Amino acid sequence: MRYPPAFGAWLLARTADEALAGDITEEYSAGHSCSWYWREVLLAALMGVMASVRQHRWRTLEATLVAWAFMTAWGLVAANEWREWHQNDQITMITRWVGYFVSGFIVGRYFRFPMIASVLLPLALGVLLRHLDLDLSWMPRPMQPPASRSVDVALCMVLGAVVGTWRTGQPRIVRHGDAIEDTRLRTPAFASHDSSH
Amino acid sequence: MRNLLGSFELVVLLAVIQLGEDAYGVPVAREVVRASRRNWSVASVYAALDRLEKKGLVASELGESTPERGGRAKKYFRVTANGLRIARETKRTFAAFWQIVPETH
Repeated sequence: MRYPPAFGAWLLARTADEALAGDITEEYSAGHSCSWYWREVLLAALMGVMASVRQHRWRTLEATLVAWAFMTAWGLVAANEWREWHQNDQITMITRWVGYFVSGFIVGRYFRFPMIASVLLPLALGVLLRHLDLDLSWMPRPMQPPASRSVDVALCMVLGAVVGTWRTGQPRIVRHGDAIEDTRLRTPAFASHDSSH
Repeated sequence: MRNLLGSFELVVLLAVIQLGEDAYGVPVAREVVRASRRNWSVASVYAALDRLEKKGLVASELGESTPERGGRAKKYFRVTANGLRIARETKRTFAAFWQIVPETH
């Protein structure tokens, strides 16, 4: 039997509908290419995240506020308390990375993996605002969205969220001999749909 | 007219009707790709099935799981009476208009 890539299976288990994840895995086992698999996984994950955001609007808002409140506090501390350190650009950069990583970790740890969307959406909005060259100088500096070239901070935030959700008792992919098993029976993203059956 | 389906939803609904008791994600997606001759993703087929289910045109139930699926259950879809009625209504509406479309320019 052909096993799907471990990270793809992990991502599907946490974001997509159980049946959809099974169908994608079945088609991959039947011989579809790796590029087909990753296209399907990313689409399924995106749909699962969006479904989860629609289903948990208030939790999404809460996660967004918590993440950005932390970033603001971190930014204020970094700007005021550690001012002398910030003569060094590399330390400033590392401080930003740590801030975004911990912010993502908080969201991943306390708001489930799909809530990463609540962090990614403001980031995307920030990139859009920067792209349109709007004047954001009226916003406190720590709260200003990152520039479009700041892919590094977005990655730090996503990485933090992934690490934050790693050990939260959520379902995992387990291999039993020739078979792989997703220990979860329902995904949070589609739980309300499945509960009627 | 308000009951008419979008073209993609209609194709998915017809695939569910055609497959009967075997209509779960994989064969439905294959049938949709074969009939439309476009490379639709399984995820987009599921999104359409989800919309059809919310409209009450199909119903679903979880079935068996297999090792090839990573132990995950299949979700079988079947058309509802309302779904059949809408499909027939859509066919009648399209057929009436179809007669005025010229075969060639």
